[in-house]
Amino acid sequence: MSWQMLTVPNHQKIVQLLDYESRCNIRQCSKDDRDVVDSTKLRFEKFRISEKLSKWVQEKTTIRVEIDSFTIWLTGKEDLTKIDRGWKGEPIEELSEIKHENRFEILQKLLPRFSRNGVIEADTVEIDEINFAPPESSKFKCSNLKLHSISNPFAVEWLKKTTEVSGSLKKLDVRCWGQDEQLWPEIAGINVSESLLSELNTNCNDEQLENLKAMNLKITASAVTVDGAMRKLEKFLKYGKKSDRLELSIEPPREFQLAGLSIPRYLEIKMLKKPDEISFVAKILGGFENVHGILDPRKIEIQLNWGFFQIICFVYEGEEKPQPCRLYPF
Amino acid sequence: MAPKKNSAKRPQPSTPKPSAPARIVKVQSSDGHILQADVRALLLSSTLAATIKGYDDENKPLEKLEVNNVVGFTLKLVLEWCEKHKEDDPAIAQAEKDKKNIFIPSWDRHFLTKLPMGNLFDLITAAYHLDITGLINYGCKTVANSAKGKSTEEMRELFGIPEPWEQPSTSTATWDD
Repeated sequence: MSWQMLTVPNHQKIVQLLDYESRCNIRQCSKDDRDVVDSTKLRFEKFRISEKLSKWVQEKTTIRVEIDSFTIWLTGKEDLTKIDRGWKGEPIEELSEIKHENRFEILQKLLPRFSRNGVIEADTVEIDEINFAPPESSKFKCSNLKLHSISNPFAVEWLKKTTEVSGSLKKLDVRCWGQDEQLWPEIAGINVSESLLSELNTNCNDEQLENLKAMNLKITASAVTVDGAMRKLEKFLKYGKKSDRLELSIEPPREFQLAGLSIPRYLEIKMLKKPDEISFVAKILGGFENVHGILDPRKIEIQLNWGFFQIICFVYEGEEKPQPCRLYPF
Repeated sequence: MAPKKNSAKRPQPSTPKPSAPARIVKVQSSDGHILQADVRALLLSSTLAATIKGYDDENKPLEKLEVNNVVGFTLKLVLEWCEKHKEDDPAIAQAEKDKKNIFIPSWDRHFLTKLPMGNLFDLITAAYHLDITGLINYGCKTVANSAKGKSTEEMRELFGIPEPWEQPSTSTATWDD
């Protein structure tokens, strides 16, 4: 039997398993293949949009759209844009063109080509160093989302745009400064199941912290109490997977002292360092039940620094290698 | 020597389940070949499972199953795959049905990659007719893996797709209409 004799559902199933480059290549084999590819649901592994400012020319930027191994570069200033396209980061000269149009408008027109019914589907969507609002023409549907260094006030708009279709994520990583107050209510409303890493200074409270499902968690939560943080630690020990890490920073009351901290008595603790006023470093050897059957000892580091109370907990993998010294001028 | 880590999280070697005595039936291919197979293996095919259930419900003796759309050579491959997977949990294959990341176990990888592409297409088509989800998943994933990273020309060569000018002049054969 030949490829062309396969049934359409089998054709579609195979095409669905291909990466974007292979899809494009098989699409060019015949008209039948083109029809099959065009009729098959398109879900990218990675869809990344980033923008880089030119070091030499003011207002000139390059918007880079990475779709699996395919890249589109929109380089320009005002109403002049050079469009480059290429595979694996290498532009193909024959595909380059210059348009007398603003690069943001070109991006608006470009994105729907990668969407189905206006929705771009990808396992991971990454938006990095963007200084413009999300396109109105396209929405995103993804499992993992990274929003890094998006200029104020666009981070909230990008977060809404990238989560409004599914409303839930497996992993969310937000590192956008200066928009903490606006971003947190949006993040709290998203159902993040596995990993939530945030560099924001949020006003997350005990109840919101309790409701966060993600066990791989990095968050600064100013409205969380010390008791709330300890409850989260207990939950982490019970539900955390082997690769999960809890990194929780809170603002304790002014009079709070580390000596007054009550670690649950049922936990079997072995000190790794003599506790002092600002740090508590120990191993948790037992006394907790983990639903995933992970019984490895956990390392717990509690620090009280600059008015912040920080708990870090993760699976103890033995002695860590010392960090090499970084000598001036770095 | 490094201390041994907690063994509770390691997968335990599976102990063979006490299985019922095999119920063997004859299966006839479209070209008249008669093969024998364990009913538990045939139950991986939703199509054959429905036929077997029909016989059982009516208390009719099941002597021979006719598979009219699969030739003997391909049917033998299908039965070999089913025999290997007769103890599998069907929920695993169902769970992988719409996933992009299908993991092919080593036995299946060896079984499928040794086949010439034409036979692999026959096997996928037979699995489709017989509705064997696991075999469709692994077969399609094997084809997709072999196509990854190939240019249009290499794909034409791999799958035996004729060049546009070699294709018969049907309504879908040319790029110009």
